[in-house]
Amino acid sequence: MSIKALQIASSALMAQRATIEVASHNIANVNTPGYVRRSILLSPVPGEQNLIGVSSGRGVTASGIRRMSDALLEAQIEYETGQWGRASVLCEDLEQLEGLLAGPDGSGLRDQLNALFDSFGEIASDPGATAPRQLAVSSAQDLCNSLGECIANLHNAIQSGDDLLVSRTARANELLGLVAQFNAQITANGGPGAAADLEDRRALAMQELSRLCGATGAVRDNGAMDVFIGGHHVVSYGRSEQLELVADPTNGTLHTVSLKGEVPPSGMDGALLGALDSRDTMRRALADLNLFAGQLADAVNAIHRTGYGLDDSTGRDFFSYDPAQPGATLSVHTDIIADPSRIASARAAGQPGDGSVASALEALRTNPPSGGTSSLTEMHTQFLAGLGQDVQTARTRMEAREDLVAALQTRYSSTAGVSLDEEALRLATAQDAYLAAQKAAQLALEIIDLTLTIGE
Amino acid sequence: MRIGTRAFYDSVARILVQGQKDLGGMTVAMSSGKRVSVPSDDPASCLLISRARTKLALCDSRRRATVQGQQLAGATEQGLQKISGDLGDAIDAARRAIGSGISDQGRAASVAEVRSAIEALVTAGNTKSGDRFVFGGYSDRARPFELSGGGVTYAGDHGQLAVNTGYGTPCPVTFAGSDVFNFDPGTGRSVPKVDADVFTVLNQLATALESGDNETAAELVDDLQLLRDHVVNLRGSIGSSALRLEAGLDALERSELRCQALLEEHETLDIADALTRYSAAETAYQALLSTITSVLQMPTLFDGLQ
Repeated sequence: MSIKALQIASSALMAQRATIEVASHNIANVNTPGYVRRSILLSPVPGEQNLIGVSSGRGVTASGIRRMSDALLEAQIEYETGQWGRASVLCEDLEQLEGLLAGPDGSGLRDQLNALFDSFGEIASDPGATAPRQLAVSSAQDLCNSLGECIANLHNAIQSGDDLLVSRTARANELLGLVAQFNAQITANGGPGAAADLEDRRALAMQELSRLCGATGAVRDNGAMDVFIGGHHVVSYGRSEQLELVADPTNGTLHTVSLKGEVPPSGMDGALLGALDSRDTMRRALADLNLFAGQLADAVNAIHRTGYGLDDSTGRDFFSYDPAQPGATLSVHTDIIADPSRIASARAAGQPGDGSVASALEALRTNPPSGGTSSLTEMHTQFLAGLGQDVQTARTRMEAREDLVAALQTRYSSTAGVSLDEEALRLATAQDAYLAAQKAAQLALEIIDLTLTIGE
Repeated sequence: MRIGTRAFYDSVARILVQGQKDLGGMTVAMSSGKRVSVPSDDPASCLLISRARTKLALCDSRRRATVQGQQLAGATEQGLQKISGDLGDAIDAARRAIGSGISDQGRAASVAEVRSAIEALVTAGNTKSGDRFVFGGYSDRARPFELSGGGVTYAGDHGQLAVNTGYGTPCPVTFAGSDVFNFDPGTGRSVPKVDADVFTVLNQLATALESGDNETAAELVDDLQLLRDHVVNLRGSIGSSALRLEAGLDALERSELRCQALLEEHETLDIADALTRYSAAETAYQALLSTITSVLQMPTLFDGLQ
């Protein structure tokens, strides 16, 4: 009987030691990203009936270690993280775009545009004077340079976005491979619970994967995780598919993402889709700026060609540009730069004091160009306001998603997070239980000793 | 709800970052004095601000043009006054010469006066505003009138400089010398009843007075009177242009005030309001720091473990 008591006390010592070990592991990993707290599962060991017909049990055993995760919340977090990843990349890129196009004071090209129209107004007021003509040339050159700078910055931003897309896709593929690797290790180790640290690392990889491409996972009974991107099954046990980078159909120098031949994969989300979204927005901005540059040049040239310069020349263009890329190539015509007196201001030859054509050029500030519905300044204003609206919408979406993910993570951490106070309590309880078991073992030993002295 | 230790610190860090972000945003707004720094701060206001700024630039441009127009109109008005005066003097001199009882000496003096009026009128015809000849038409950089061989040639054209004030049609601020002095631009003279320019009429008048042809002289004086009346009319016209320019400046000023008010409402930061909000945010942030410090200093169960 006393030997059995010793065995029971011994099982208690083992179980409480295991409890202390699990609590210590939790405490050690309190700041480890992705760590899910463990809880030891203790269960009584049933015993056979003793001589007097009752079962006192055979002590306690640590039947396992439970990883305190919540599969439903994990799935929600993965989904929302994908959306957040998309929204945050789009927001960051659009804020960058806004900075590039609106400038530090948010005025964009407005001041340069107004300076150009001001200079046309100055010519209209005193067509024979040289200074306003030189001012018009320098104002127009400033505008062209600023426009060219905006276009160049946009091209650079698109290229940087593409470089990021390439590196993010590589990282996503690396993570897909990693999840497959973890799957193999987890199933080899005996499935869920048996390799909790590997499950933590896989969950962390999945979190990053969700943020990158909106991947979602489903854990099987054997502990392996199936990973999906949209409707595509990309990780199954130890096998993983790879996202591919293919040439963007609209611009061969850039890349887009393909999965099993689908470009881009339907249902893909996350930073990769955000990068493609922001590229689309940047391209629209680029197209708008090029359209604006072309319309500006055409509107000014159409009026300018009808007028006469101080040298009585007519039919000249004020701006020159390559129609294939108006924004980047817009410049003041070389003839005008060479001799600003060639700026057309008069309606007829031999009328140097007539500024009516210059006046018509100035009127482009507020009047729509021929065939248009908005003036050039209004077009630019609406372009900037539209961009601002896009940025504001992206920011609101990003903040909403960020808050949602944070709220979900807080909820998840209420199950999975380590609480130091709780672990301290667990340690104290286990310590007390351990000491009590030690006393019980001592008592059992004393009884055995006493029993052995019987008959001496 | 159970709160994990890391989740607690993460949420504290998030709240701190948010507090710093709010304070940072307010500091930027206060240092720039602007409520809207980039379009995304308030796209609707950005639209209004940009339109107001463009309108202000337009007003500024038109103000400069109008002021320049006022200078031209002023010079034109002075020139016309001088021309009208010189013509009046010539008419008076001619009438004295035609009148009964004038001596030969007196007649000769009148003739000289009529002839000197030609030179005075040439000078008046070459009136400048800055470096622009106000009676040269569009050819405002070259002297429009020159004495040559006893006559006067007009080198200008028949254009009329005008200023766009932004209100109504462009406002004329000069007159072509051909209009003022009745040269035929090929489309008919400004005073059709007189088939000669002012200088020719004056020359003919001097000749008639010299020869004692009072009948012709009287007719020429009548012509001259018609030409003078025309100049007086032009003066009236330029006077009304000056009034239009003045009204245009007033309208520009009102327009600028409206734009400034709009900018005040949408772009300019209400410093008092901003300071109040900044102060509230600062207090909240300090309270947050104080709370966090208190929570962090609270003993944990580990302090009680033996």
